[in-house]
Amino acid sequence: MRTYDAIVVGTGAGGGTAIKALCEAGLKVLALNSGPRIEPDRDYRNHRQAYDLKYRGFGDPQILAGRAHQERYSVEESECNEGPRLWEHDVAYSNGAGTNWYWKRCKGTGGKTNFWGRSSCRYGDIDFKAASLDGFGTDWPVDYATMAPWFTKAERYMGVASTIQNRPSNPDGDYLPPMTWRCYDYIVQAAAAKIGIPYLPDRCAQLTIAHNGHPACHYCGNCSQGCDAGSFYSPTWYTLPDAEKTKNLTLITDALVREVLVDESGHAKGVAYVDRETRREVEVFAKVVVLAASCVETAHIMLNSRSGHWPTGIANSSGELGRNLCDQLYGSPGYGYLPQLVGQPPAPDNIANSTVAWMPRWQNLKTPREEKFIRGYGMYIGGGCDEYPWHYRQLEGFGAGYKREIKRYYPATIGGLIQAPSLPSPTNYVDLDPEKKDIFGIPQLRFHFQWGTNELLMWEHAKQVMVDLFRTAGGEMWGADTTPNRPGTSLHETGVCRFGSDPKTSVTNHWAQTHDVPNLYICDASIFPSPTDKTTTMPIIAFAMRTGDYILKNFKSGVHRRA
Amino acid sequence: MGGQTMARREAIRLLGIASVAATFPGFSRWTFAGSGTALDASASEAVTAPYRPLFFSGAHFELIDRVSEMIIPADETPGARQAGVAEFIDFMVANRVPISGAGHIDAPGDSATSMGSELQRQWLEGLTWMDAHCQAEFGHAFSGCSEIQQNALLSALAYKAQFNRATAAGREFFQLLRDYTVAGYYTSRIGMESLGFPGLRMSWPKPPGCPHLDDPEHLRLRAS
Repeated sequence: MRTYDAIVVGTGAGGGTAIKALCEAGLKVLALNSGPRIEPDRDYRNHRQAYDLKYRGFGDPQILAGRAHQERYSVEESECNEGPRLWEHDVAYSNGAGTNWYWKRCKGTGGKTNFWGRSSCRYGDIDFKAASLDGFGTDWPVDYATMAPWFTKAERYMGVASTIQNRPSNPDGDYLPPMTWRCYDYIVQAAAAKIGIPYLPDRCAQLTIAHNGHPACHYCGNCSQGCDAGSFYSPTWYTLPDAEKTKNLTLITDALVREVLVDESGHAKGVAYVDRETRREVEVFAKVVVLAASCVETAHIMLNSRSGHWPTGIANSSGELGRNLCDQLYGSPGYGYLPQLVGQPPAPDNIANSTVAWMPRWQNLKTPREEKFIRGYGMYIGGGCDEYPWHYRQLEGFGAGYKREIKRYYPATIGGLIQAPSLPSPTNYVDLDPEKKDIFGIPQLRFHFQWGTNELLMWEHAKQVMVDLFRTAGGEMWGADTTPNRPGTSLHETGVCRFGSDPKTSVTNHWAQTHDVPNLYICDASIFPSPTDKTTTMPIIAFAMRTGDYILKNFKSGVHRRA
Repeated sequence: MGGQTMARREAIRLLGIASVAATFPGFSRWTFAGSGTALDASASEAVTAPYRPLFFSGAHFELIDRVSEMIIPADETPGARQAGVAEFIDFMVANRVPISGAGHIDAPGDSATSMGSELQRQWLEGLTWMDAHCQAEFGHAFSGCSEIQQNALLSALAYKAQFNRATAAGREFFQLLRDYTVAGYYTSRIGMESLGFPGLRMSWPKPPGCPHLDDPEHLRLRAS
């Protein structure tokens, strides 16, 4: 039986980064991916319009019939790529009483990072030391000075478009030229300035110029259904081809990992996976195991890795495994239109399909407790001429006048999207369902999660901000979401394997190496002990680069032996 | 990965990929009608051949065709009929495809399958209600009514100011009709061109952005 230097479970933002780092250093790496290989020609949108799709983009209602988990995964799972081949609809999960978690899983290589939103902000000491600032929770075991070079390395590799902004909540980075602003960006910016809110270019991992051999964006607007040209960072176009070039990578697809295997001393010796096609269980071996299965799935695998050494799951001597589940609250706190733009000619507002601009956190900056809530949130504004005139529902009537009004309002609609971090809570966690098993016989993951008062206060705050913003901009508000989106919608869950300095209160050390099992590492957002107002992908990549580097040092120094 | 060389990626960037057309009943008409692309002889034939509904009766199909054109009529751009909206609705309802629920899921039970199962019943009940209401009010089924009578009914369903007790039962169905008509029209090439959807173009050197930079609050636009 062959033993690899390292097994990496998962090929997304974190896994792909670890795979690349280890392969390029000459290690023999086995990567396990839960689903098939993504092929852009087959799995991306590739410039199809709604009328090229059989169900016009509304999707085949029967495609999930008979599957164990039949929810379509909104936004990411579209008619361009829908169905159980790329998306996890065979492995069910459970929600505890009162929980309504929406667990969206892409099992193709590269995972959700094929279809991600591309916002890429640095975390700062305001995030890492938030607990010291406001007294809640625990600090991160790293500071900004430690992480800044890794953020730079990640940004230079990915290509991130933005500007230097000198804001306390958002450290600046190494940027490509920013996205072009649309009419409504200038109108909203002027109104936001009047009520003391910043409105600035977002940090967007989208190539405004050619970068590292990847072509500049051609602005077809298909981004979130996959980029046909590789003009934004994804493992499919970046890390995985880099790793394959080294010839050091063995990739096994359709391999659903069940558990980490341990030797007689309790150290990792490999993993057991289910081959989805044959449904047979396979064991593979390595000197080092890296879990990057996408936050909660990493915890799921570890909780299922029970043995004499680890009766409650591998590396869980702290009891923190699965705990501290956090998410970002999403929802629209207000939408409407700008009369200034009604009747204007249609403008290509969404051909970049990205978060061109946003309102970076502006709350609790002078002192950490200015507001009724602690920490802070950000907001994105979208709108303008999009693919489908959803505003038709706001207009009354029918006939030629109705058709004319749809067109007149088409350039004028705008809406906000809040991104508000939850706080760790003892009642928000994942565990194994004591009764239910999935179709492969693996105990299901079970979610326990409620929004807390802090993030709900942010939601109320944001709704008032949108009222003020529309009033100041001379806009008219149509409404706001009655409730936030379901937990899980943001895809920014964190915390279930949090890192820290104290082995009694954390699962891994600051290198993302588990305290208990020195040859078991984690490269995804499960190590982040608390969420921020920013997105997770770029920091996952930066932390994974740093962890990959540390693994290599440990191979060099003899902590880990080559196979 | 395999085969995705830089040369190929450049080619895609410069040329775009030709659209891949799926084939199913009614497709040729609503995709290609009026698109400005040259139709070959077989496609032209498909356009002129009478459409056989998959789900609705001939009479109901006629009704849908008439009402959808009333909702989005031809004016300076083609209307619902030319965009094949009635065929679209027939196809979507035959296949139980929900419009409103797609892309917005609120609860684990909200699968497309469960939402679609009610759809056919809603359509049949709604169409039956429209004919019955017209019979009682005007002495004819909807298709036999005058244009003024048809307009009066839709107005009483569509405008708050004209709501009345006799038509209350039909309001929800009118919204369904309008949802599917708008969906059929604005996902057709005709509808996208009518709206001026900028994403019909697949390659831009860069987004042109706001052309009124000297007028950051765009106040003069409102006055114009």
